[in-house]
Amino acid sequence: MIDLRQAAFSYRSGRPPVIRNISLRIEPGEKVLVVGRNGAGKTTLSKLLAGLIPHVERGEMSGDYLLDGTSVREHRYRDIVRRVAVLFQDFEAQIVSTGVLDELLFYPLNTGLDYATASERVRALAARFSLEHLLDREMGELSGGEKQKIALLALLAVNPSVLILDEPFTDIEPATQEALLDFLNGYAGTVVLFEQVLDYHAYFDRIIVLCDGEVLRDGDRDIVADAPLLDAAGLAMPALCRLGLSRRPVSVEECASIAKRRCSFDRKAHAAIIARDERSIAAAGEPLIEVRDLTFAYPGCARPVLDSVSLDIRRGDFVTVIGANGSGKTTLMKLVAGILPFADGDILFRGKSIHDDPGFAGTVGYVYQNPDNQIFAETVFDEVGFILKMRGVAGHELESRVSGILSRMGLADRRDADPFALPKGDREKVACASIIVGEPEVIILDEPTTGLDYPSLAELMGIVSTLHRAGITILMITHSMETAAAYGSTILSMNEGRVLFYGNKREFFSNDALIEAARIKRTDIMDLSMRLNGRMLMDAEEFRACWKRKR
Amino acid sequence: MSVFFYTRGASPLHRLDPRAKITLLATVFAALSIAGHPVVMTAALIVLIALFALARSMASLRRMGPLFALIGAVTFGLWMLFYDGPLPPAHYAGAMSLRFMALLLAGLLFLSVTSLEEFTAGLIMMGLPYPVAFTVSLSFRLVIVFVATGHTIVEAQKVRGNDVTRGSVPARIRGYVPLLIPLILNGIKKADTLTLALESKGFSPGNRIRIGDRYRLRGADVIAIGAGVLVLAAVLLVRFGVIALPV
Repeated sequence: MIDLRQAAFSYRSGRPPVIRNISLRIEPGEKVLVVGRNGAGKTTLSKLLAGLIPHVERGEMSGDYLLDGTSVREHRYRDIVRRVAVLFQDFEAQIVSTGVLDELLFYPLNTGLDYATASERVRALAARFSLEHLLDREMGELSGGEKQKIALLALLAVNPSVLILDEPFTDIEPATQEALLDFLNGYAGTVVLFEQVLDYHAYFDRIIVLCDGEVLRDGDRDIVADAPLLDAAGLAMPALCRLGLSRRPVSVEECASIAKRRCSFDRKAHAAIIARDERSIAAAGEPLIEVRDLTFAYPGCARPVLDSVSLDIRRGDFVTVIGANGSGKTTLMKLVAGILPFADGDILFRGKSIHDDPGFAGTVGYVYQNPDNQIFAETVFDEVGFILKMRGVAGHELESRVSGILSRMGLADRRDADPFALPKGDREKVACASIIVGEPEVIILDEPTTGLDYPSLAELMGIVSTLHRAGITILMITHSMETAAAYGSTILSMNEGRVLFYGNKREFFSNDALIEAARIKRTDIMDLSMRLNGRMLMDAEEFRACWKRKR
Repeated sequence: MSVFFYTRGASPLHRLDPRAKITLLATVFAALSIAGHPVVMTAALIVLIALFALARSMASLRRMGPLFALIGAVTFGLWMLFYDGPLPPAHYAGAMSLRFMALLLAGLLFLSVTSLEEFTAGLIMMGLPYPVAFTVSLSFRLVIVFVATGHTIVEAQKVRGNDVTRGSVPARIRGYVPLLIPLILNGIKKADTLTLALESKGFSPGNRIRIGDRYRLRGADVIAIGAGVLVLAAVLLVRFGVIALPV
C-alpha cells in the first residue's frame, strides 16, 4: 500500500518545494489517474512514488512515504524496484540497451529472474500486443511510438505490484492506447497514471488533480464534469461533458440516449458545415508539392520505410498526417522537407525536382517534436533570429522581423530570456517561431502538441491556424485524434509505408475499415454523432450546432 | 539503422556464441601481433575479406575500407622512411602495413557480427565481473546515443539553413558551433538521467545476471575456437622457426 504523509520535495536545498503537503493513501489494486498541467508536480510525484526520491534523485524531502507500512527511507532501493516499476515521461532516456529483446530482458534479469523465465514473459507480452516483429530489431531502428511501447512492456515483464506511468501514451497510436488501457484496467497490481488530459478518465475509479505542487482534489470520476475545478487546474473538460447534456461524466452510449431524448438534428446546420468543408477544400490551390513513386529505406536496413508513395499537396492546404507507429509518417515529412536524401522516386516543388532546385532550401520549415534539439542560443531573440542571420539579414530588418514574430507568438516579454529556462510550452513556441520567421511556404509540425498542457496546446494551435489562414501550407503529424478533428480539412493516413487514405477528413473518419486499418480511434464526439444518425461531426462545437435542444 | 557497424543477421558468424567470438578475436589479434611475414598477413587479409562476405557484412567493409587502405598506405610510407633494421625496408613496411589493416579488419568484423549485449554477455560468461562488463557495454551505448542525438540536431539545424555538409571548410567549422550547444546540453541531460534509468530498472553492481540459458557452446563454436587456436599455434611455430617461410 502507498501512504504519503505530508510529503514535500525540493530539488535544491532552500528552493521552494516542487510538491508539498501531499497526503494520500492508495490501496493495493487501485487504478488512479493523476492529472495536472505543465509544472503541476506530476513528474516529481511519480519519482517519489517510485522511490527514486529520496534514493536516487538529489534533493530535499520532508514528510514521509510508507510503502507497505515501512518508510521508503528504510527500504533498500533494489528491493523497491522489484515491487514498483516506473515509466519516465522521457521514455527514450530510460532505454539502456541497443537491441529490443535485450531492452525487454534488462529489467527482469536485473531483478533476479533467470533468462528462461524472463524470455518467456517478454515473448508472451510481445505477442499480447502484437509486437513480436520488433523483437529482433535494434532500438535505433524503431519509431518514437514503438520505443514507447517497448519501454512500457519492459516494466510489465517484472510483473510489479505497483506501476507508475508518467504520460505513457504520448507517442502511441490510439488503437494500441486503448489495448494498453484495457490491459492496465484488468491489471492485478496498483496503477498510477500521470497525465495532462482527462481523456482516459473512464478507465479509472479515482482521479487526483494536482495544481502548483499540491493536491487540489482527490475524488471519483465526477471530477471531470466540475468546470470551476478544471478551470482552476488548467485542464480541459472531456468533450462529452462539454456538451452539457449531463452534470456527471457519461459514456458515449449514455450520452446518445440523452441526446435522442432531448435534442433534435438540425439538417440546415449540418448542410452548412458540409458546405464549409467543401469551400475549404476548394480554397486549396494548385499542387505545390508532388511526391512521385517515392521509395525509401534507411542505410543498412533492407526493409523500406516508404514504398512507392505518390501524392500531391496543394498550396494552402492543412494536412493532418496520422497512422500507426512506424508507418512512415515522419520519414515522409523529412523527405518532403529535404532533410533526408533520396534516390528512388522524386519530389517536385512548384513542378521542379527538389534535387535540381537550389532555391528549395528554406521554403519548407520543419518543427521537430523535441524543441530542445533545435534550441541553442543564449536568448530567445538570438534563437528566433538565427535563420535570418544565416541569410545575411541584419540591423533594423532583423530587429523588426524577429520582434514581429515574437509579438505574434506571445513571446515579446521573453525576448531576452534563456530559451532553455522556459517552460515546455514556451520552448515549443520558440522552436516554432524560429522556423516561421524564415517565412517558409510550407510548415511541417512533428507532433507539436506532445507534452503540452491544454492552455499551451490551445495557444500553439491558435498560432498554427492563424498561419494557415495567412496562406501557409501546413502539414502536421499527430497521434491526438482530438487535434486531428479540430484542425485541418485533409487527412493523410499512412500504413506500412504506403498511403492508406489522402483526402477529406470527414470522409476518412466516417469509414470504419479505414479507421481500423490506420490503427486509430474516433473521438467520443465522432462516435456519438455516428451512433445518433450516422452523420459525422468532428467536435463539440459542430455537435452543438447540429444537435439542438428540443423546445 | 544502426549508427555502429553491427547488423542483425543469421550468418554462421552471427550465430556463434559470444564466448567463441571473443576467443576467436583474441587469438586472431594475438596471431596477427606475433606474425611478421607478409605472406601470412596477405593470407590473413584474404581470409578476413572472405569472412566479411560470409557474414554478409560487406556494407561495413565498404564503409570503412577506404579509411583502412589509407591507414595502410600511410603506415607503409612511414616505415619505408624510418625503418632502419636488418630486413629490406619494403618487406618490413609491407608486413607492418598489412598487419595493421588485418587487425583493423578483424576488429571491424567482430563489431559487425556482435551486438553490444552479446559482447557484454560473453564477457560476463567468461568470468568478468558484471559491473565491469556492463560499464564496457554502457560506454559504447552512450556513444551510440550521442551520435544519434547529433544526427537529429544536425537535421534540425539543417532546416534552419545551417547545413554543415556543404560550403567551405571554415564555413563548416563555424556551422558546427550551434550544433555543439544542444549536443552538450542533451548529453549532460542524458548522462544525468542515465543513473535514474539504470537504477529504475534494477541495475546494481552487485547483481548476478542469470543468462546462462541464453547461450550454449555448440559444435560450430568449438570448431571456431579450435581454428583460432590452430592459427595462433601455426604462427608461433613460424615465429620460432619450427616452420620456415620463404623471405
